Amino acid sequence: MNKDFKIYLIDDDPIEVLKLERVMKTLNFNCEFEHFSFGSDAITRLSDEYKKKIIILLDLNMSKLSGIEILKIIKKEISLKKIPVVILSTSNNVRDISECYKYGAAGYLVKPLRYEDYLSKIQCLFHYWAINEFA
Amino acid sequence: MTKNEVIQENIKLKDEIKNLRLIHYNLIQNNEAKLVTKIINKIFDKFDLYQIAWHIAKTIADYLNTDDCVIYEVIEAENCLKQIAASGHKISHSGEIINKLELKIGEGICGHVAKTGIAEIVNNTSEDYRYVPDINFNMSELTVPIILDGRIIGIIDSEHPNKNHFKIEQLTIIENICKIIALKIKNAIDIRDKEKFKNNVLKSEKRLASLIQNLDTALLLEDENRKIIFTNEKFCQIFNIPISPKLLKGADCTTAAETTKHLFTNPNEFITRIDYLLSRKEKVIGDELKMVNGLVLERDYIPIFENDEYQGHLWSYKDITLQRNYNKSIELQKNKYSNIINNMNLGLIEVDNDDNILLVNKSFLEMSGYEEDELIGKKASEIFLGEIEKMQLFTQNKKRKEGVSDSYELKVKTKLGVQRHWLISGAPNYNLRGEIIGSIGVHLDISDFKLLQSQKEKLLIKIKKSNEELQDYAYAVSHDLKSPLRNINALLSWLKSDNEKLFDETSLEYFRQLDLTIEKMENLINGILHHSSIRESDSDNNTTDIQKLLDELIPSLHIPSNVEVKIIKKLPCVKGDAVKLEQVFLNLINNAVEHMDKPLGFVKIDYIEHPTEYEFSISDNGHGIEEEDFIKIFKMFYSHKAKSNNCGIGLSMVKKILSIYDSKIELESKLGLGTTFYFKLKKQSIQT
Repeated sequence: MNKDFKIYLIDDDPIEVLKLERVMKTLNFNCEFEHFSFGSDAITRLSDEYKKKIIILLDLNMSKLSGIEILKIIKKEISLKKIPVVILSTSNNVRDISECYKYGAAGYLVKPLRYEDYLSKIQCLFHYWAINEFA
Repeated sequence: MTKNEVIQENIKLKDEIKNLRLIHYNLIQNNEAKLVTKIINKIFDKFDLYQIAWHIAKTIADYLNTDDCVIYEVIEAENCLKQIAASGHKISHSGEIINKLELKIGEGICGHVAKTGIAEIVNNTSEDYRYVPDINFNMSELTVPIILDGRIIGIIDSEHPNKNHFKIEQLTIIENICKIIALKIKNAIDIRDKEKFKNNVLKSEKRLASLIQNLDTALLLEDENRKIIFTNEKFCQIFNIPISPKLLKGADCTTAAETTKHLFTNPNEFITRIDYLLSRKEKVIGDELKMVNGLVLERDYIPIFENDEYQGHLWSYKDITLQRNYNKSIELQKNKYSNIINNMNLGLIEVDNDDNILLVNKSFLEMSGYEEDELIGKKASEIFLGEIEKMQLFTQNKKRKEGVSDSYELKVKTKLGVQRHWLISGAPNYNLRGEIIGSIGVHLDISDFKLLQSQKEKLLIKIKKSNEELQDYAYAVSHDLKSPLRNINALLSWLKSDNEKLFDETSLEYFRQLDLTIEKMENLINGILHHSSIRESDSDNNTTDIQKLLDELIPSLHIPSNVEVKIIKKLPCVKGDAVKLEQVFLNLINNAVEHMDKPLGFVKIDYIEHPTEYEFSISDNGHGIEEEDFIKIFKMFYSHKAKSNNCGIGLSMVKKILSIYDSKIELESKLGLGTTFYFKLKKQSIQT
């Protein structure tokens, strides 16, 4: 499996960070991982290491910059445009989903209630991106 | 030959010529005498112009060896010639003249002769520009005027198909004949004209008589002794005389007034007035008389004098009841309307074509704050309007001059300088000739209404906004609640798995209960989310095929094997959004299935048709609902089964969706037997 990519998690909920870390540990999926509570921090950081292969996991419902705004900024910036952004959200609202794809999201995962379901979804996500090529 | 011999020869020749002339003259004389005799014989006992002319034409045609001889009458007054007789093929079988020609004096050869009075022979008509052909084209023509006392009264005109047909002596003879018959013809013309005149007089007399008989005015003509000369139907009718007016001729009227006076409201005045008029013998017009039966009469008295001698008099009575009543009712109407105008709550103003105020009513004065004398004669726009409004009024006045009426709003300034909104209905004002002489405007002060309206609009926007805010709030809050729930679940799950062997069975049961509670909480939040996402949208006007919708929906539901969902008959198309309508059916079917307590359950879906809508019914044979719960079940978060996973939001959503379509949900239920829900949906929207 190609684990030669780096995961950015943009989410202001610390427990979400714990959840993802635990999933990676359980699945023994030890690729690079970085967490940002604020979208702006992530964008600054991205500008420094745009040469690396990165996947962004983005929460929609955040207190400062909302997920959709961060998505817009990334997709507007020529150097960042190519980075796949997968949305992680509690919302299964059609309006939210279509909005995200419209602005260039690479995927949209609805956060399930049960942790077990979450684990299997993230596993699928990692497997999917592991078999994909990056530019 | 000697000179003598020549002289002798000349004398001889002269004598011979003299003899020959004599013979020729005698011959002509003879011919003329014969012809004259013939004609005189035929016409001496005739007096009818047409008969006379006809005989003359026939005889002359014979004499001239031709088929064609026509006699014209010259009518100076009409400046024309009319054919009055003809011969040969100009006469039809019934004796009428064919193609009865009428010529202007001066027109054609006949017209020309009628002008000059000189007889003519035309030997080749094709070379004469004046020739007007009758029914045939003839080559020669002989035309002779009939002259009496220097006036041309007729023309004899004969034609022949060959050239050079007529001889000079024939012309001479016919000229002479014309002299002889002129008087006879003139007499005949006079007799005919007299007859005509007499007939005309008779006719017009008859017409006049019938006119008078049927006149709507009662007439009574009396002679100097007050005997009736004539009267008419109307007179008999008004005075209740039951016999024909003709029979009244000669009747004495001296006592008539006495016998008819009871017909009038003031009999004595009737009598004295008649006596007065008869003694004065002066024309009096327009006396008004009131009758007991309600009629109002107008009477004229006209004395008749001939050579200053009194001959009698004419009474005429006109029924003016209608006219009088009409005038009275117009007066009443006018009073009524001016009362309405003065007291109505609308301001009224009348202006002329130059916008000068002619009339205002009380309400207008109150609205504007001005006194009447401050307005009359002034220009309305100068007093009330600013520059922009003047332009607005200018276009309106233009419309008025084109005869268009309509309503518009205008900002005006009252006397106190307060700005008000007036709604004005303007209409052009016409005079009796239909010309526009100005306009009439009805004014309503709508300032308060305007204010209310703008307040209402603002309020609506505010309500809409706060409604949206509320929905957004519900939406955001539900999402904010979801994340912690996920976190709790994750933490619990870790707690359990990390310490798996340390918990006893009771604690593990607590964990299971925690999971269930979290799940229930999730369902509630989803319910709120769902409920708050139901909004009105454009797709509510779509047409949705309910049969198709259920064909797709039912197989996707988790329906236990002991329950059968039945569609009784093919379901119709309705007006509404497919997603919302699916929620209605989904929730009602789920509700029925969930509360099924029978081993063989059914859910039946059916409908009946109304003029503009369909009424659907969804019935089951399940648990049933107690009547006291009928209202409660539609409230949010009401769930019959305490332990149910159902969040209790389904029926509340059904109610909310139906309310968007102006519909209500109703139910019938018997505990233990089952429940039927009813709701109506509008028939499919007409595609435009």
